[in-house]
Amino acid sequence: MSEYLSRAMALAQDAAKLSLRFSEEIVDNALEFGLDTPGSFYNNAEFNLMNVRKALNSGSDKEKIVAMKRLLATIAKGLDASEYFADVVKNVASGSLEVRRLVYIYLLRYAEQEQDLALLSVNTFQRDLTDSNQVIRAMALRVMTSIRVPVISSIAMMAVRKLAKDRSPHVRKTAALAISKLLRLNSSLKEELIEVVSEMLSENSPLAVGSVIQAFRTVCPTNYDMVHMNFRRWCLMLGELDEWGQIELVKLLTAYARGHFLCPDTTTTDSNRNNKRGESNGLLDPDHELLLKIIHPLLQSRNSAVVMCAVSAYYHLAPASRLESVARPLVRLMRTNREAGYAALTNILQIALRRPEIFSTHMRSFFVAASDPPFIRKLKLQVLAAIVAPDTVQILVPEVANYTQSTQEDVAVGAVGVLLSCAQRMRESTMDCFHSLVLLLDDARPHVVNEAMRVIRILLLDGSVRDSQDRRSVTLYDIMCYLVRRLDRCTTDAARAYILSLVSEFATSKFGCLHALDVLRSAVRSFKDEKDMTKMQIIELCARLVLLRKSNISNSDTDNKDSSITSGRNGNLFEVLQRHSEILYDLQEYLFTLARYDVSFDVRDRARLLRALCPLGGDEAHSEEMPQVLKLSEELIGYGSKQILDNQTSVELRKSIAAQPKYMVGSLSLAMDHRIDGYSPLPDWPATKPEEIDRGSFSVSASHAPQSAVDVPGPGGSRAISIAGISGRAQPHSSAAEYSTPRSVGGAYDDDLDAFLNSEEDNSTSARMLPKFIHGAQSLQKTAVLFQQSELESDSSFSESDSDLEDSGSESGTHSNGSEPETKSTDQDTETGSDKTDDESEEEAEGESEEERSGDENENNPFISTKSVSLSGVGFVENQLSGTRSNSQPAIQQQRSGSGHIGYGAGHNSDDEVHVQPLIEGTSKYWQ
Amino acid sequence: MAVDSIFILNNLGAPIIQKHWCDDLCIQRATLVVVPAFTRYLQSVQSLDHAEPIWKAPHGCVCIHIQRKELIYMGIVSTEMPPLEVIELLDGVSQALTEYIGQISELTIKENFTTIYQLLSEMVDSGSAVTTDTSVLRGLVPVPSLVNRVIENVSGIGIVPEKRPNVNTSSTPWRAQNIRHSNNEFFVDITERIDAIVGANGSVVSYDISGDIECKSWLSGMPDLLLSLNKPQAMDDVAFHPCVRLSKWDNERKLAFVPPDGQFKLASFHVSADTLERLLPLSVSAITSTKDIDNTIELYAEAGQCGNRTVENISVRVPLPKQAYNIRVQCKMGMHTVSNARSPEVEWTLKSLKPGDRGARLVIQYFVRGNGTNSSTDRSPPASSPAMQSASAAYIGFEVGGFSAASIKVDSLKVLRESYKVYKGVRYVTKAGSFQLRF
Repeated sequence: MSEYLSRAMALAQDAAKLSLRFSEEIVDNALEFGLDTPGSFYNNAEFNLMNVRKALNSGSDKEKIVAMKRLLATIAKGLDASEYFADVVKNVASGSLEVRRLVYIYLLRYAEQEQDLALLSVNTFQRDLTDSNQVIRAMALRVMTSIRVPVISSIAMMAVRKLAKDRSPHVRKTAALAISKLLRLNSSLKEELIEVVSEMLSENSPLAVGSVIQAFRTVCPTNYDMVHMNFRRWCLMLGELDEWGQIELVKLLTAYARGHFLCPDTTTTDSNRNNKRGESNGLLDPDHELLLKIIHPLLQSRNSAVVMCAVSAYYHLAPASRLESVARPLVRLMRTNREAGYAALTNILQIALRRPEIFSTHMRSFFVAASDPPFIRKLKLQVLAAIVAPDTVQILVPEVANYTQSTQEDVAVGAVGVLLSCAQRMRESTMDCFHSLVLLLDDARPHVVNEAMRVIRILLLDGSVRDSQDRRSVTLYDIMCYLVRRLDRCTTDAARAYILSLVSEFATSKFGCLHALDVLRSAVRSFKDEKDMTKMQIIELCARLVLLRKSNISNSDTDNKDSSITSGRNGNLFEVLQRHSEILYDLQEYLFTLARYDVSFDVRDRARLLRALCPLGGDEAHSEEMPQVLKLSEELIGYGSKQILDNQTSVELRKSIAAQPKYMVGSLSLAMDHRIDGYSPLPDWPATKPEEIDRGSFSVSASHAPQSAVDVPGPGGSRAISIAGISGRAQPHSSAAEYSTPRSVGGAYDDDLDAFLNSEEDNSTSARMLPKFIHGAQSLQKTAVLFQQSELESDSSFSESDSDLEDSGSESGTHSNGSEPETKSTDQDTETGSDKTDDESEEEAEGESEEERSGDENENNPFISTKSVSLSGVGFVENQLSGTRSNSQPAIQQQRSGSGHIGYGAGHNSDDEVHVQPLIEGTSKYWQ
Repeated sequence: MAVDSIFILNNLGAPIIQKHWCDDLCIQRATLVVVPAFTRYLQSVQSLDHAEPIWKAPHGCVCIHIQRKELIYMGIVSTEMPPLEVIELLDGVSQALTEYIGQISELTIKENFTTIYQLLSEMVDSGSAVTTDTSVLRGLVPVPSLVNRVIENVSGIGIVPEKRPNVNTSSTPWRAQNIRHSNNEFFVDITERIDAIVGANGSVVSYDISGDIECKSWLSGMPDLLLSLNKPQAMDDVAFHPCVRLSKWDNERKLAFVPPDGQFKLASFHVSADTLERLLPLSVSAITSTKDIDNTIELYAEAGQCGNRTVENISVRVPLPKQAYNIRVQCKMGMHTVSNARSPEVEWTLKSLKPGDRGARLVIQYFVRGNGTNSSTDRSPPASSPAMQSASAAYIGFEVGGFSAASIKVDSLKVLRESYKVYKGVRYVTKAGSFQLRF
């Protein structure tokens, strides 16, 4: 019992002692931290600075520590604490390591401002450089070389020289790190530093190699002569280095390999790398092979920076057929966390644009999750658009169609872009995509509607819809009727402009023949309520119709044979235009007058240009020049559409054709898409086979590894890779799935009308189209009837001025469904079209001079100026003007229920949400 | 080639810690221009995680930031340096701080700022990363003094004035030479995360399993471990801790390694899709209906294919559109909360759900304010798209203990080179990663 008691007593005493000591410590700490709420020491640091000076000069380490902490807290908050520099420097030789560490931090922050005082500390550092503890030596060297005081650079240089041969790899590492700092401090030391680096390159400790290579890359990055002998040794060491060392080494070896091995893909040098890739022509240089083999395991690193570095090396060095192995690691990076995912995605996109096939099996990883932040969503959608392939499109289209209904507007807009890509590349999915897009026009969000309409327009123009398999279910006529019908409900400027532009694009199709003029009339009526883009489209639609009319006249004047073909080609449009040329000219005059006084200078500009190209009826004072002007303007306006198309659709495609990204994969420059300071591009592959170089031996010589560490036969040893047979071993030759590049769109365009018109033959199939389409078509047919009626009226009102019209009017009925002559002439058109675009540049030059002349004439022409004066009297009061006009044009009044408003390819609009290209290639150039 | 400065900011964007490796001019630029601009940017975005991690700051600088817990770690870069290196460095800083300080918050950062400064000066030299390995750092920077002393007091060992710092330069830098433990223990935790998107009709849109093998090692000496898994071929993409010998994995599909001491992540893996059965441990379905402005979402939850285990810690978050009002929630089983911070959100939590438990149900009803722009002009479409105004997805979280969705198991764990007896333990957990149900 007593035993128990005594033991209990002892226990209690122990406990009491312990608690006493504990409470003492707490009091100590409380003293240190001011016994307040947590964090208050940090918060109140700058208010307690008055005693700092005294404390720093006192003998107690504890007080010094508290004082230093106060100063550091002040620094941490971004406040100035430099006035205590003198007092702090004195403590640099303090016996307490803790004090010294804090002093170093302070010293580095303010040494640049107090250079003279900072010199006081140098002696201490020099003493520490000989300390027996490797950490102290390293720390002294690190701090000494980090002080940005140029005066000490020579002393620091000596220290680096000395410690570069230190027996501790930790110190050697610090010495290597110091080299780049010294170079920054004093660039005249460069020669000396190169010397030191070249000695250090034989470093064998995995701990220090990375830093040595970093030093090499800062001091003399292109001095590859020093690399040759170390190449193989480094390759073998790569696996043992720490992660940051691996990054440095891979970067160096990548740059080296680009300069010293032949390009693995024989066709890489020419720009279309997409076409013939994959044949690595047998064997690579054995060292090249070794490098690739050795970098491959880094793709499995846990460190995302190492993985990206390895991916970059593979992308820039490996034969195209082996690139597949980078996809999986990249997708893994994407999943790790938000930030790394973003960085990985930016690079995935760049690679996917060029090599879509390697990601196609990972497509589901790029599906947008509702929780993805906007920047991830955007990139994922872009990647999806890039990697769509025939075997995945069936999954992708419904998924993306789902996105278009997303509550996140940017997802919906992005999804439209993916649909475009699917529709353009995969014929079998085109109609699915097209239907989804058409449904989107009902969306309440303006951006979505605009984007959908933009894409619909591209699909109609580049012939994707026409070429799709089940195209016969829908005819161009139906689609156009539906779209024009939508003008009534569509409120957004860009979408309206796109629809109008389609009308003028297809002015010569069946739709155009029946309704183009009507659409124009309706559009002119609402001109004043439209926004800029739509206004410009209306002007251009008008100009185009006038032009078609005029070219008809001039053709029939000059060459009868020709005119028969042309009239065949544009068939009943000419008939209609001819019959209603007065209405057309009146509309034109009215419209151009309105536009001339428009608020927007873009609209005024466009109107002025187009007026010069196709003058009003009254402007024909200079009719002797008409044929040329006409020819020119026909080229510009008529074939401008083709050029737009080339520009617009291929922007996305051309991007993918650019063989290499502008910057190295993984670099910051690539992420920011502009050159960041310090970016050094990879060298190009050598054109000729470099001569044989001795790249050193594979053995790791033990000359420089005096460290005493017990060598565990652990990872280090067993990671060494057997070299035998590397060169001979054939790599698995994954067949680089020949990816069919999206066809070039421009060439196919000319057949468009042809096919569309052909497809009109079986109108019965249109029943398969969406009911909405039919509805649209029906109502348009009704409009057409109205149109006919109004024609009669307007004919009667204008018949006095032009009696010829009646004859041709009677013919129009016979032409309206004759598709044979149309098809023939389109072929003709194709030829002329291509001819003309060949001479594009010439024409542009010509166009300019022509423009100037007519512009000048406009200014000098007394007729025009008087007219504008007379108009300005009426014109500025718009109501009055339109009132006057409507009296003379009953047709406009009549067509209340008309379809809408027209136009095409708006002009120099800098608004980046809207990507309508200028109608005429030359236009913007001319006016800029 | 280097980071100019590293800042640690609180979630409002106010800097707590700053460390610079550039000249004075650059420091002025960072503190006076770049950081205020960055703060403004953070405040301007809709929510913090909508801020782009790589942000173009004024004066040709780039701010690269990561968000961990409630803090933001931000590096300013003005010269070429791969963004992932910066991200990885900041991530390393954050991990080192977690090891040194434990629970990281604005407060603990302020309490331990000196330690953070010491760590930063060891981890980064003149702007480039030196090491992010915490086992190396532990040799260089002492663990915070307060913690140290409490440990010393409690354990009764006298106060050692100052441990000389040292660095391990052996070929296994992650493991010190003379480690001794009285109990030799080794634990393996295999955590699998299911990333899935489930469509409205119950179809699985995308499905991925990735996982981590985490270990806790308290072994003496220099043990060499050999871990074999039942079906390593199912892992198609594996990332390893540097201690793992890759050649062994490539040849035999076994993990051979000398473990670091303490807790570490041995490997993370991704399960290849073709060997995968698409098991959904929790099956959730939703019925949504809209009548005029009245929206209803009915959610049903049930334990799914999870090997007859109990599904735990279930949480279902349903973000509602901004225009939602008059939100009424009924739930059978579990608890629900309605938060209305930025936009309304309903969260439903269930402690556990056994297989066969039926009737876990949540009904959310709410009205949606009409969108003013839609009804004004006659041109606008008669009915605006329903997608505009209804909730689109539910985020689901759950945990199933003792269950592996990809059925990856540890076959054996052998300890070589050491003769003592080792207590081994294995645990399996399957969690929801990014698991979403679309309506």
